[in-house]
Amino acid sequence: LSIGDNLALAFGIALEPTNLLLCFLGVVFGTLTGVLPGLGASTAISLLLPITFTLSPARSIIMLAGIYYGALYGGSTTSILVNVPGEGSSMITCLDGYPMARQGRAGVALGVSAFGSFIAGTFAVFMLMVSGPLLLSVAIEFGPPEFVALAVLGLTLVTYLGTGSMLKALMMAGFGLLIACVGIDNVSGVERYTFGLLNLREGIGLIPVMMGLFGIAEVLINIEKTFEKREIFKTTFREMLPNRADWKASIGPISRGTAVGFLIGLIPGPGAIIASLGSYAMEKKLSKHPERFGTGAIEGVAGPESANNAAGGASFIPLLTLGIPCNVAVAVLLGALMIHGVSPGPLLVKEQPEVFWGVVGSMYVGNIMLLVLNLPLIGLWVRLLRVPYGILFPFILLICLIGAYSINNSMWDVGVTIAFGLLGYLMRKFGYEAAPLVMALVLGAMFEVALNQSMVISHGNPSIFFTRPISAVLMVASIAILMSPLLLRLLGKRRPGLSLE
Amino acid sequence: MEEKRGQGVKRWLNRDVLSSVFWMGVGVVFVVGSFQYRVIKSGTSGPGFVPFLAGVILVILSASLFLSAVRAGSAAMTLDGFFPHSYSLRRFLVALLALPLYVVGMMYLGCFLVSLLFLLFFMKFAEPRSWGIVLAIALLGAATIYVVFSVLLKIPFPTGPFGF
Repeated sequence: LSIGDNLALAFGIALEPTNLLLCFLGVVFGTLTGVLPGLGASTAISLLLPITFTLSPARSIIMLAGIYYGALYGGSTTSILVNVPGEGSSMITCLDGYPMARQGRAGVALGVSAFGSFIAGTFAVFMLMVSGPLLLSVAIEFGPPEFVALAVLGLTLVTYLGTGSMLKALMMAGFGLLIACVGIDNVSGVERYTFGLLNLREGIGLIPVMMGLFGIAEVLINIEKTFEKREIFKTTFREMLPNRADWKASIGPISRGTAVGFLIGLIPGPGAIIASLGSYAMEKKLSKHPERFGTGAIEGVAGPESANNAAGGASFIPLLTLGIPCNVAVAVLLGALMIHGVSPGPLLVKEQPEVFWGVVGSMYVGNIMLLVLNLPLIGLWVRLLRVPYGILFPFILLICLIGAYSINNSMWDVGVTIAFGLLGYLMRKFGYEAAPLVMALVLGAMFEVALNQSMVISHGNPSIFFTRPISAVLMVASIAILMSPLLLRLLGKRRPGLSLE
Repeated sequence: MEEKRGQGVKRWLNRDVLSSVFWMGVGVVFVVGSFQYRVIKSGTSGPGFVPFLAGVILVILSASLFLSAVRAGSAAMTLDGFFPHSYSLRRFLVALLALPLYVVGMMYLGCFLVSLLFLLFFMKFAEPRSWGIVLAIALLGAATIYVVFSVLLKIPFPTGPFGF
């Protein structure tokens, strides 16, 4: 099919009234969670997943994807108006967004951020539309050894690009693989680590784990602190429209941020965060007046906000073409697709075009919705930010618990959520990241099945991973990444963020 | 002398030492368990292979962290400041108690009533607020949650003494 036919199919699906409504609900709920500090996209997707059980796979992914890019979009609002990042990827926006608000330019900062996000998000969807079918020919070459190598590379990158200790991140990836083994083995049918408990035969569910590690743990960490009253800046719709000078200063950073964000978003890891940091660093380097950065430079808002949205959109490419999640929120989307019986991968475009093109079409529509709705809705978000955390956190806890129950109508899942909430809290206290654990839990089943198939193909010879060109490249890349901190240490060029300890 | 010894223990007993011992234990449990499921079967990987591999990796990495943490001593993240404020431990313990109580309460009191009590308890405990405001927000919140999840989404929650 030509691009025109694909576009017609995409918009045909996206513009169905029910799909429009679901996309709308997704982007509004996503923006809401992005605006509220402490409730990320991954938790929001987990919370709304039970609602999608009665929907078709295409409709449910349209809504859940809307939450994801809506959250990326909404994160900047809190950074600019309150100086607290709503999402990790909007952290850097605080540096110049909040000073702009203090100078009475909150509206312009929000406007540039919204337009930049729209341009970047639309570019990423366009690239998804173009590259999806093209990647199909490459992805079809993927057999079990390539999928093993890809899973290894994905986990390696997530541990390498994490913000904390790489050693601890690797440990969490190992633990994630271990808990993915609990339950009946997909290949042999053997019951593993169930300790005679019937509930464990189905394995440990991704959604309760996610809600515990990200929802409950986040609340447990936050309630330890003082509930401070926030200073929130007001703005009007008229003030949000950038003038000619604002556009002139922003268009370069938006273009560069989009390009950088898109490329970084294709790589497994916390792409949106790295993309926004990378874009900020690049803009500062390119600027004739780098000293303005941190004091309210519009480039420091336009670049990073475009970059994180481009990265968010780009992460759909490996998800839908290879079945590889690039970050935790996308991992939850993968889990959601699997619950709906959809296996993302090379054959998705061919076998379930309504899912692939439905997502593409809805992302175009969703980006327009975000721009049209969120600029006038900013007043509502500001009012919402005035809700004290002391009132907000019991609701977050309650929704996590009820959401966990509604997955299987089972108290067991609520128990698992609480247990992982406690574990997540302790992990944060002891300096462990949850992202590698979740990624390993998601990739674990696919990794194990592909590993067993590879071993059968090679009659138990592990060299199969190094004799096939694609898997060999991926494996060598993984080994190089794993060894790089040691090599850097030997060379005496250790970087603190990438150290082993 | 005793005090000196205590300080010595405190110096190397940092967060990484404690956590590495825990994860090492987890790894050992999975490695030992993997032998029950056969690590190698008919010359290829058996059902115990991945847990064995991941368990061994976890044990090795934990041991490495343990050694570096002991060597680092008090230079690593110590247990001091584990709870940042005087009220942090109390808040954490209250939350820890309330979460399982919610699960038990749901089975006997039903979704609406237990949600109402949960919201009331946390909002009152978090910050001093008048009972009127707290009750109004909790009632509205519990009713909304009941309507959305139980009535609209038809999730079959356990029913309480009043039939909802």
